[in-house]
Amino acid sequence: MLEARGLVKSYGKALALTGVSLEIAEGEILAITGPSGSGKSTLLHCLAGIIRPESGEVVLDGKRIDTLAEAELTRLRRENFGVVFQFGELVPELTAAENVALPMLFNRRDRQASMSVAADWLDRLGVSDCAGQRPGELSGGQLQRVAVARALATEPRVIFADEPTGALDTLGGEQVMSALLGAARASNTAVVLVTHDNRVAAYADREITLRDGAVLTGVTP
Amino acid sequence: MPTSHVLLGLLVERPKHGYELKKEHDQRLAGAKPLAYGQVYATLQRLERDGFAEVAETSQEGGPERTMYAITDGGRAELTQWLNTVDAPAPYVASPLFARVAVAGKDADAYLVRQREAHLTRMRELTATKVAGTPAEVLAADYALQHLDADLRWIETALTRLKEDGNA
Amino acid sequence: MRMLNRGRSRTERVRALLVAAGAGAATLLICTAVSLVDTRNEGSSLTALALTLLALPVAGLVHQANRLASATRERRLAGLRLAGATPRDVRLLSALEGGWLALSGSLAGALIYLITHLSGPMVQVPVVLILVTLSGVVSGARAGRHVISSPLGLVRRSRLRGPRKTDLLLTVAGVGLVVLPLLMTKGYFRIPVPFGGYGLAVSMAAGLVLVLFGVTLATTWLIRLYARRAGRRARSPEMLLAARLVEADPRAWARALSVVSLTVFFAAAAGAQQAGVGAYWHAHALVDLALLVALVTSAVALVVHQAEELIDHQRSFAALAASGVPERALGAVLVRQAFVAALPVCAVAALVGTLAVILPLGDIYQVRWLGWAGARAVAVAGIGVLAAVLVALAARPLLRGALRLDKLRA
Repeated sequence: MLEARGLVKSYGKALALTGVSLEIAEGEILAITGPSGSGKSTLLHCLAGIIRPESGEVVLDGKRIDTLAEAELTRLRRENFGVVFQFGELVPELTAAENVALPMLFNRRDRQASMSVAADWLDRLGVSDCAGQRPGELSGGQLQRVAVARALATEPRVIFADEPTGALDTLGGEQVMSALLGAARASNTAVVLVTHDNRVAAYADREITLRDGAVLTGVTP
Repeated sequence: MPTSHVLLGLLVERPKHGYELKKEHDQRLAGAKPLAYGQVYATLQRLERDGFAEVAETSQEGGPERTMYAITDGGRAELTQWLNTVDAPAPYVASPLFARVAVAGKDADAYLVRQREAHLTRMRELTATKVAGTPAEVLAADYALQHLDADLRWIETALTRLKEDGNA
Repeated sequence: MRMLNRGRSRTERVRALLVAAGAGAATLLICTAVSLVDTRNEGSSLTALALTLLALPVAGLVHQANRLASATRERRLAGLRLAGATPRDVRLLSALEGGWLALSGSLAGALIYLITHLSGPMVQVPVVLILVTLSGVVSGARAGRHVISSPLGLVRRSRLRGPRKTDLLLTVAGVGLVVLPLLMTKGYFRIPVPFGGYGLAVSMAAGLVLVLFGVTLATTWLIRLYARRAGRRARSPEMLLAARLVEADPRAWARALSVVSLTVFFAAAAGAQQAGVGAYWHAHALVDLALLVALVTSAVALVVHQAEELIDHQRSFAALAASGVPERALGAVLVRQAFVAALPVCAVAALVGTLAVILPLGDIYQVRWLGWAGARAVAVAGIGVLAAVLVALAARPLLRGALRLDKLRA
């Protein structure tokens, strides 16, 4: 469904990706691991269409997305992808429910419908009592689950999660992972997960390890 | 496996048959090797000999003979002492994983990568079991997972160090 | 003091120059204004008013320049704190610096006035000098406050969200200082005042400066109220975000809009007056010009505020952009914010300004003048809102830089 072919990306003189290829099937859960600086986040951002690679292709359903115009790419992201960040990155001035509803509102759904879908998702992830609170009043684990709800609410085909449990302790992280993956599996949403924690990676169906911008195969590079 | 102490711990609640003890052991120590009946009875007899347990009653209700064992005061004291024992953290590094790397040196690369795969696969299996497990099973799975993770991280460290030493 | 001066970067020297120059200009303007005040001559009084009005944005600029804590200045002050200075020490130093700059600038301005007005009245000069220096001190003290809460230099300002009691006091005092002389010229009171007409004008000027500081109170409350209502009724995500963002920090918006609101107030008042007093076209034009200048300089405050806003919301905006919200929509949020904040403020300012002139005149005021007064009030309110919106529109390119993704890296 989503493919990367020979992705190369550098920041200034530093090479972040040196030719990475991978495939993600519909509904598959993939973990991308590796030490810091191995290019995991860069790979994720390329796959999610947030940055463009210098060379190589990113293909969704057989169509290249790295060559799309900015406006089209933005719309494609909005309608097909969801993102979860390490620190949630919710809008602090909105309530949890409004934060979850926001992407739907940007997809031109009306306010009442969006808010009720948002409430529904918060309930499914076990944080319905946070609905009227602001992010500042929530614990780390609750925050992340609201962020997950925000990513899931638009019913995307792929969710990209960048160190979703990085800021949480073991049990908090476990809650978030089971919430995310439970919901994803139920709706057959693929998940691409970047993490440096092996125990979080163990939640995935499959794992890919990056080292120095390349995929680690059977032999150490 | 300090089986005798585990059985004492199970007897402290109330006197039990050997059959009950085996069942409870397997349930509570999820993930451990199931206890054989022979081992249960051998341990019980040893406990009796040491004065930590005694035969409570022997019932015979038309079925096979069932002996019920109970804990003694001496047994209670022994149990308390064991529960409060602090194990000295492993003074020796005894692990086949480590041994192989120590012997192979920088040629351990390929082995380490394959061992890593095996660890990861096992971790995936364990994580999957946690979804629908009993609390005891989840606790046991966590223990296994975190130890596997520790091994994994050592493997990654070793791979990096070997590469650096190789370049040096 | 010497510690504060050591290690100044170029931007800080520019800032210091701005403050001193502003103080000088304000002094010059007010002194000249006072010299022109003549309770019998409406024309020159109007010119005096115009000059005083010009002093307002200058004062506002000075205050903004003081707040424009450049990164190095903040770091130096933070360093002082880490070295053991208490918050009071830092505030004191900042106040002293502000006072020193204001004094030196004011002296220069006073000197220019004296030289050009050798034959004119000089009595007001020391009074104005003292007032301007004092405002410099106060402004410095307040600017030094926001380093206090985070000596380790986190770029979080100490956000005072709600209205404060001192604001109320300042507003009342300021209004009193302005209204009293006005009433006296109309013959309501017969209190012997030192310096006669000059004293009144000076007190008016001082009152206006106080009102500038204190007007943030009413506008804060007003903005928060309107933003809350706008958020409840918002149907588009841009409006919802904009309303909530404004509701969360009304004080910063009130501060940024303070000069704009005063300008609209005076413009509306002047308009209501113009309807009756027809003859002094050139004086009216001067007043209008002064108001326009004030509006333009208020843009500085607005731009500073926009920049601060972008920095504060960078991470959450970047996250939204990453999940597919177009940059265009986020730009629309910025523009709508300016609209939501400026609309209630300008509307109320225009209304109050018009009424402030009409009501006291009561029966003298002819109904046919209302037409002009009303039209002008609507127009100036519109211009005020437009100014805020234009600044927001111009700030949109800054968004692109703010949305750069490496800000999202853990």
